[in-house]
Amino acid sequence: MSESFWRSFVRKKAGVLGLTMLVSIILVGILAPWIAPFDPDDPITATSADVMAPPRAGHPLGQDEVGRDVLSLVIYGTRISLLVGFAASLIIVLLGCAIGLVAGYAGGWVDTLLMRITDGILVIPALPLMLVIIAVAGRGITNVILVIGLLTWTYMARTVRAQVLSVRERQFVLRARAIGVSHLGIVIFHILPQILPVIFASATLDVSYAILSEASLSFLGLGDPTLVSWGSIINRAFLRGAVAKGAWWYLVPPGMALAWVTLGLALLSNAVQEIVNPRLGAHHLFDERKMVLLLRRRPSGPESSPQEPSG
Amino acid sequence: MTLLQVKDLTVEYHTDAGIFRAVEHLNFRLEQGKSLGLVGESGCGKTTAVLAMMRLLPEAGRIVGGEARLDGTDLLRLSPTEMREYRWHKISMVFQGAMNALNPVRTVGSQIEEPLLLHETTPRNRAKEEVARLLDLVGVSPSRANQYPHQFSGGMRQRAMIAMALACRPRVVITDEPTTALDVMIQAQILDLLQELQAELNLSIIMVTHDLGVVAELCDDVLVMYGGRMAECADADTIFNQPAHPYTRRLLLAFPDINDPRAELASIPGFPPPLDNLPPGCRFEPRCDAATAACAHEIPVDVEVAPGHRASCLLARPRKG
Amino acid sequence: MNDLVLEVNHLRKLYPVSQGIVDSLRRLPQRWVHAVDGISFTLKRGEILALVGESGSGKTTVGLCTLGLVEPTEGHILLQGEDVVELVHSRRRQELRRQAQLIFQDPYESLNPRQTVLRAVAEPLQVHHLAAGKADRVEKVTVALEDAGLKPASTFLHRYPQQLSGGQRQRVVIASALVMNPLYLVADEPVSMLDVSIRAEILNLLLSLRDEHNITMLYITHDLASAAYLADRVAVMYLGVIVEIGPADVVLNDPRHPYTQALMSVIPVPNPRRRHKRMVLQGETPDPIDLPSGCRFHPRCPEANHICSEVEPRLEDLGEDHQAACLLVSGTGENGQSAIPVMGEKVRS
Repeated sequence: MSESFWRSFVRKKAGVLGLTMLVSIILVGILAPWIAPFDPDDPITATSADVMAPPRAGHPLGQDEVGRDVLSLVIYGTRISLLVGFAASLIIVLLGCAIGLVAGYAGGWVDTLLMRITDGILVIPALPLMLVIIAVAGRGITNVILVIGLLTWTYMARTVRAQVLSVRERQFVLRARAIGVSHLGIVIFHILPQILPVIFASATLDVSYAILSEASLSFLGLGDPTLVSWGSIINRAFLRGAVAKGAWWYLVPPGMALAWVTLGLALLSNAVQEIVNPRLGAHHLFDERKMVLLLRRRPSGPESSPQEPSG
Repeated sequence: MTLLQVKDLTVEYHTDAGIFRAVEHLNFRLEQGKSLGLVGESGCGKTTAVLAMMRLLPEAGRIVGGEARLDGTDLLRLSPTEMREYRWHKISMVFQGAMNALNPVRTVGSQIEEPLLLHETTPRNRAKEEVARLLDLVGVSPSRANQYPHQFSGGMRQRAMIAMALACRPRVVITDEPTTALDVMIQAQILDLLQELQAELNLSIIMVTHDLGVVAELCDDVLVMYGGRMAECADADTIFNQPAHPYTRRLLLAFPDINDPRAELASIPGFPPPLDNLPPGCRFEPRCDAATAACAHEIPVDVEVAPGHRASCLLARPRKG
Repeated sequence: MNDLVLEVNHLRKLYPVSQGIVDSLRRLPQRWVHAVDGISFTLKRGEILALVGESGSGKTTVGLCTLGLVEPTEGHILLQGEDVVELVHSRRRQELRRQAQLIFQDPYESLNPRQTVLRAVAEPLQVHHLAAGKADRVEKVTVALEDAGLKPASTFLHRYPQQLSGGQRQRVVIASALVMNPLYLVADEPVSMLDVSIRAEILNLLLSLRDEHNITMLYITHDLASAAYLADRVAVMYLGVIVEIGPADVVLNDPRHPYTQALMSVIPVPNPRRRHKRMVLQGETPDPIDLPSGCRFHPRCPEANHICSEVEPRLEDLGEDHQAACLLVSGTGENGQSAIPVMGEKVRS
């Protein structure tokens, strides 16, 4: 399946673009110490001329209020933003999948119980709750990751549960039961592989949500004070009056970095979703299986891996 | 009299995996008031052929040759606007699995009404009457027009689809596997219904199916297709009792006969040719037990075995007497 | 020695019709779907019994109950003398699964699209620990595939279901059942979604499995013709009960119940010269919720008289192991033999 998935994927230019954007920013984060012109942790040797200085030679994106190079800040900020984003979304995926799988497969009171818990968390507005928890638990990167992860898994859980409910009824699952496969075996070998693509598509969006949540928290001053992230840069810019001074070079780059990542993830997610949800362009050929399989390989269209027609 | 004449119909699918010929040089005639069975296994091109006539091929489909003259007008050469006048008015279709394609959130009556309003500029007040008349015609109580599809059983939904196809009083109705997925008693009811309608309305029917029993029950003429081409074409009696093409013969042997239930059912070994790997000569040759060496290279032409009976086989010869 | 492989006694399966809140507040009595409403039959080793009926007759539910995949509301099912429901709840459940297998109707849906043929057929071996290591698994899978007619097996091992035709997929499903050496097989409409020209192969395969491996089978279908071809005995079901049962040629040559007669008469005959008058029943099989009074079939029965709406007929013996549940054919009363003119052709024996 993966081979044909890749073949379809590379045909989607938007998706490839998104993937490239994502990979490039990840590389920036990894290679930060080598590509950033300055290290933000270096002792500050700034003069008054350097305070919120506009872009000039040596500082393509200007300097912040203590003379640090903004470009380097943004580059280093990538690490934290992405780290939090991926770590939190890992929690989201693991927790969401686990709960969604159990609820969807078990049904009955287990399902009801888990879903009511999920609903309970879903209903509370996320950001205010995050603010409260951080305010109480204290600022720090671990707390930020935990808070984002533990409050956002709910969407994934609902998605996964819905998928499980539909896959559970399919005949090959009944067959697995008839053969005597254990419940765990059915979930791992029969249900999970079917829903992985959907999980992936959903997870990519969760990553961008997590990154934006971290940025929001940092912007509101609740991020880790010792670490630089895009959100914290914007936060300091605001607090130090960059707006009044018109220091766009301080405000805009971190925002653009956020936009870059989010856009890349969105394009990637879209492309994956298009591949994963087969669009039947020929409903009336439903039962002429050979014809339908053939039509999958259209020039401008869906995946080339023949799957069962829907319905 | 001949109502629909199809000559040399050829349809291809253009995909990025290549160009596939789904239908090739198909010829047949549909007489007024008669029914023609278009028979073949899945993938033989029968649905593609009728979709081509209705100009409802999917994007990848291209009609690359031939004509389909309905009352003299070539349907394949009409512009999309002109075809809209013909579609449903003169020729309509009951699609395969159509009974599952009803919109679940609209009443059945409103869905039958739709073609009436779209095509015939029937005034609203007359439309409801017409819907009632149509439902009655197909054996559904007209009071059910306000019900939703889930309140109809499978058989009733199929009847509703037939009613929809008859809405604009077409001359030709194409039914694609009208009885698949229905219980055997309902199948019989639907076939009886089609027979009645044919007689009452002087309809001409093209029935696309893989089920020979349905064809034997209902059709006057039969066209057997294989691998996108015609294998044999004749009236029903001849096809069943004097088949000239090896494929037709094997197909008949595979069909259970309740009058001799223990007779060995023969199946045809092998599989229909994949469209991306068609045999160069006769399409049936790899599975044919009567094949000669020539069959693998030469494409057989239509041989007139008897008046009105054509077979596409190198070994077919005109019948004497 | 013909031992009894399967014994079904007074099997009933009822499903509650879900009541909305309003109805439960109004304390309306609970309604039930009478999916299976009192079925009894037996199967000897190596025998093929066809359970024939339209949708709503309950035939699939019966099949699933005999496998322990659905729990009966009432009645007992004994597989080789042991109660199936008890086995399912005991530690010997896996044994049951190994011995009693199922083949489905939809070859396009019954295989996991992400599993290769090898994995799909090897899965039962892994679940039941029937193979000693990978090489042994591959060996056993190969044998099963070839028994199911997929030769050479090696070309199929690493293919995915999507690359196979309907008939081939069905053979893979059969192979995965065979690989466990089952005692009993339920085939639920195994050929109804296949082209007519392919059906013969699969039916012939099932016959050879019975002949070579002595597998006992329950063949569920709505098609009397294939039942006639395959089965030793035929049981006709309507709305959850058996209306007629007997040896295949007896039931087909001399159908006594009007429903069986109607089914016989509408079987398509592949020859226009032999078009005969068919007994096409009007209306549809009703939902098995509000059952008709008396004989379930009476609203659609062309022969029904007033007694039929009052008394529910039981299966009565007609000789030659042939039974039918119809007031008009039971026993040797004034209505004794064939009070019903059989319409259409008689099947020659």
